[in-house]
Amino acid sequence: MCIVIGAALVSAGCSTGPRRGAPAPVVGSQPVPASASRGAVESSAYPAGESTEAEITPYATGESMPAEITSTPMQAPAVPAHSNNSAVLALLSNAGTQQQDGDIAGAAATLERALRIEPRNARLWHRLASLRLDQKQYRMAADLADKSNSLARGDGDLTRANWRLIARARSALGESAAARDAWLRAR
Amino acid sequence: MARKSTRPAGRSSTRKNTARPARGAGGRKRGGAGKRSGYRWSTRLLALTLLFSLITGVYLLYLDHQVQVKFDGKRWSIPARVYARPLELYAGARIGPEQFIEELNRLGYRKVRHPEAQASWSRNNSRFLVRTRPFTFWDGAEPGRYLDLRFEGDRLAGLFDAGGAPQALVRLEAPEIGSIYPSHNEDRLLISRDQLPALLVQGLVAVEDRSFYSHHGVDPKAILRALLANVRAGELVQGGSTLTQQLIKNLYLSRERTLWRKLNEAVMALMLDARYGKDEILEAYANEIYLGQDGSRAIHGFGLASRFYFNRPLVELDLPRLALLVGMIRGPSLYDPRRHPERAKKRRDLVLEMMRQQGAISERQKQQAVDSPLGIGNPGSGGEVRYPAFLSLVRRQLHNDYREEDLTSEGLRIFTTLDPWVQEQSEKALAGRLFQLEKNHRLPAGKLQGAAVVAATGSGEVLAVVSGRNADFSGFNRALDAVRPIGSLIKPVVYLAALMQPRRYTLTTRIEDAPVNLKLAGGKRWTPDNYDRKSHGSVTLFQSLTHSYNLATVNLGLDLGLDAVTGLLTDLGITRKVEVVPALLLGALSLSPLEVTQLYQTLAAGGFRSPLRAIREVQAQDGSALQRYPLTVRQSVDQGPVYLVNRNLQEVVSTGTGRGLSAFLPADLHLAGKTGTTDELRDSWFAGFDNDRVAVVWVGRDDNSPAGLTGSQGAMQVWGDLMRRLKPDPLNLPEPASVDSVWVDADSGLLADEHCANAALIPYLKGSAPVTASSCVSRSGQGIGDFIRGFFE
Repeated sequence: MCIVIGAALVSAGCSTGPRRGAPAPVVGSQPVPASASRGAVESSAYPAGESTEAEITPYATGESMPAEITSTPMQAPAVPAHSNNSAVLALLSNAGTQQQDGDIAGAAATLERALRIEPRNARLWHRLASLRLDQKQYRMAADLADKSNSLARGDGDLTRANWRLIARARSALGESAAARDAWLRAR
Repeated sequence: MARKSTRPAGRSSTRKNTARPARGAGGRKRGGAGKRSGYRWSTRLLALTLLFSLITGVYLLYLDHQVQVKFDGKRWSIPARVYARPLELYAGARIGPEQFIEELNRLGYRKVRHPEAQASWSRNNSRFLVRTRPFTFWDGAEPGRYLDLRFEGDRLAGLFDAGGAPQALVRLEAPEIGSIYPSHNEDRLLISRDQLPALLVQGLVAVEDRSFYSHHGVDPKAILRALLANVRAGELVQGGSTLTQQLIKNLYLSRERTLWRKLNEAVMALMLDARYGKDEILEAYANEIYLGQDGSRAIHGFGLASRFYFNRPLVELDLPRLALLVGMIRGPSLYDPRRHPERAKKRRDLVLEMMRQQGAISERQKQQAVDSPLGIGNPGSGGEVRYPAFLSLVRRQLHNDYREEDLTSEGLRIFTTLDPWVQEQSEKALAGRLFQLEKNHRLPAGKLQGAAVVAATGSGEVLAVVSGRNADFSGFNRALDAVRPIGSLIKPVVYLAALMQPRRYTLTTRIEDAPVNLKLAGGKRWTPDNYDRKSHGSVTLFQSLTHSYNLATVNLGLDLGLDAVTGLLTDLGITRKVEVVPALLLGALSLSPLEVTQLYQTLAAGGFRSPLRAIREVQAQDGSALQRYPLTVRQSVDQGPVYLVNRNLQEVVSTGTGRGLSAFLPADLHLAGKTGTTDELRDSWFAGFDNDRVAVVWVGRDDNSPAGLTGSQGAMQVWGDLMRRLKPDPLNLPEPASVDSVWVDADSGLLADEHCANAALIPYLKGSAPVTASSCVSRSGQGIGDFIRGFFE
C-alpha cells in the first residue's frame, strides 16, 4: 500500500507537464453538421461568432435557398415601413441598425419577430423582401414582394415599390420578359 | 495552483521511493558473502522487486494518464437543451391574465406579496408586478427587469418598467421544454464553480467530507472514523470516502465494491488532488453527482437537479432546498422527495443539523429551514420532457442538419417555435372532447384516439403538436406518423384545380352530381356514392364543395384529369408519392396530420407556401449563434383561385358540412374549414383556419377499425373546442387584384343585384364573371347600375 501510494505521488508530483494546474475545460469542440445533410445547410463549418441560416426542408419541400451572405451592399428600403404598434416600430428601428452594421441575419430575424406580431403588415414583408434582394436571394425576394402585394390593399406606393423590387429580382435572374412586365406594373 | 507545486507530498514520497533499491542493495551485501545460492536468491529478489516496481510504476503512470485525460478533456456529453418560444410582451398583445400566469408558473416564477427577488411576481387585480430573470437569446441578452403590466380583458393593455416608463417590447425568457440526451441517458445542466451557492458547498463539506479543504484526496481519519462506526453498529452505516474519492468513483470506475477498486480509487484521488485545485474538483463533483431518475433519464449534477425538483435555477434555491439536495446524494431514490417526502424531510433536517454543528449556519437559520416545507415543484414541471410529440418533430428537423452525437453532447441550445399555451389548450381540447365523444356516441371507452397540429399561417411556424389523448406519453406520434386516408379534405384541391381554369370553371359553373360507374384497370368497377346516398343533380361548384358532394367532385375531377390534381398537391407542399387512381378524388390518399397542415397552410396563406418549421435558431454552448432557420415563402399557387376556394371554405363553415362549429364559435369569425370522413367512418378529419392560425385534427382508432364518427361528429368537435380556447381572430381574406366579387342569382348563375331574392356575392377571376343578367335584375329595374357597381366592387 505504501509503495503504491508512494509511487503514485512520484508520478503525480514529478511529472511537471504543462497541463498541471491548467483549468480543466468543460466545453467540447464545435459541432460539425452531418456531412450527409440534405443540402439544406450551406456551411460545412461554423465560423466563430457568425450565424448561418439554413432552409428547413423536412416535410414539405425539397427546395433550397442560397446562403445568408453577411456582407452586402446597403440599400435603403424603397418604402418606409410603418405601424401603429410601438413594439413593431421598435423592432423596425433595431432591424435598420442591424442592417447598417452589416448584421443581415440579425436584421432578418428582427423583421421576422415584427412579422410574428403583425403577420399582415404588408410593409414589413416588403422590408424583408428588400433585405433578401440586397443579399442577392432573388427568388425569395420576389416571392416576399408578391406576398407583400397580396396584403397591400390599395397602398399604391407600396405596390409599385414591390413591383420595382420584383422587376430587379427578375432581371437578376435573367428573366427579362417577366422583368419588363414587372416594370410596367411598377409605373 | 501555486499551493500544489510547493506541496511536500511529492518530494517526501520521492525520498521514500529512492530508498527502496538501497535496502535491496544492503540485503545483497549481507547475504552475498561466498554463498552462491544466497547470492542467486537475492539477485532474483532484486529482479522481482525491480520488475514489481516497474509494473507498479507503469500502472500508476497509466492511472495518472487516465485521471488527466478525462479531467482535462471533455468530461461529459452535454445534451442539447430545447426551448419553447419566448413570450413577447407589448402593449396590445393578445395575452390574457390567465395565459400570463401560466407562463410565469411555467418559468418557475414565484407569486409573492411584493416582488423583491428575481423570478417573482405579484398581482393586484389586472395589474401585475414582475421581476424577470435575465436570459441570453441567440441574438443578444435580455436583462432582468422589473415590469409593471396592466391587462384589459384578454389583452395586455400597458407595459411599463417599475418607474412608470412605457416599454415598447420585452421578451420573457424562453421556457425550457426538454433536452436531447444520449443513449446512455445521462442528462445534466453544466454549472461553474462560481454558480455553486456557498451554502451548498458548506452543506456538502459538512455532510460528505469535513476535511475536504485540508486533506490530500484521501482522509485516513475519516476512514478510521467510518470503520469504528461500522464496527460499532455491526453494519455499513458510514463511508469514509472524500468528495474526491466519490468523484473518482463516479467519473472513472465501475460500481463494483472490491478492494482493488477501492485501492485504485484512493490512488487516483491522491493524483487528482495533486494535479488539480479544490475548486476544480468541487465543480466537477457538482456536475457529476447522480441525483435522481426521470423515467429512463438520469438526473446528474446540482444544476439539473435544481430544475428537476424545484423548477428553478440553482442560484435561486434557499437553504432548505439546498440541504435537501445535499441529503439526496446518499440515496437519490431512497430520499426521492416526490415519492418519499417524509423520509426526504428527515434526511434534509439531519443535513441542516450537521451544517449547524459545523458552524455553517446558525441555530435560528436551521430552525427556520426545518420548519419550511420541501418546496418541490409539480411533477409535471422541472425541465423534463414536457411535450414529447413536439420534441420528436424538433429532433427530426435537427437530424437533417446535425449528427446525433452533436445533439447529445455539444450543449447546443435549440430555440423552437412551440407555443406552450397553444399546445396546452390543444391537448386539453383533444383529451376532453375524445372523452365526451365516447360518452355521447356510446363508443367503447378509451379506444378513440386523435392528433392535432396548429401552425402560424403566415410563417409556417408549428405552434403545437398533439400526438394522442395522453399528451405526456411519448409513444406513437400520430400527428407525424399516423398516415391515414384524408377523405374529403382533398376536395378543396380538386376545386382549386378546376378554378385555375377560369375559362372552363367558376364557382357558379354547374356540374352533375350523378352516379359514377367506372371500370378500373383490374377489371373491377368503382361506384362511389354520396354520404346521404342521394344524387343532387345539377349543382354549382360552390354548392358541391360547401356540402361535400362526392359524385359531383368525382365527375369534376375526371373531367379535369387526375394529373391536374396530383400536380397541384405537389405545389401545395405534399412530397409523398401519390397513387393516381380515381378514388384519389375522394381522398384515397393517405397523409399524416402534419402533412395535411402543410397543405392547408398553403391554402390559408393565399397560395404562399411556407415549409412548416419547428426551429428558429440554434446556439452553440459558448453562446454564439450557429444557425437560423429563416422564414421563407414561395408563391406556389396563384392567389386568385386560392381566394375563391377559401371563400368557399368559409361557406362550408357558415352553411355547409362545418356549420356545426356554430356551437363553439360565433359566425362573425368567418372561419374557413373542411370536414373529412373515410369509408365506414374509420377516419374523422377537420382542417381549418382563422386569420393567423391553421389547425388540423384527426380522430380515429389505432387499430384502424371504424371509429363511428364523421368528420363533423368527431374531429370538428375537437377543432371547435380547440379554436374556441385559442380565441380566434376573425378571418379576413384579402381580395386579390385578379378577383371581382359579383352579385349573382344563386339559382341561375346569372348576374343579379343584392336586392334579388337569391342573390349572393360570388368572387370570380377577372373576366370569368357571368355577363348575362338574370330576370330578377330586369324586373327590379335597377339592374344596370348595380351591375356596374357589383362588377367594380
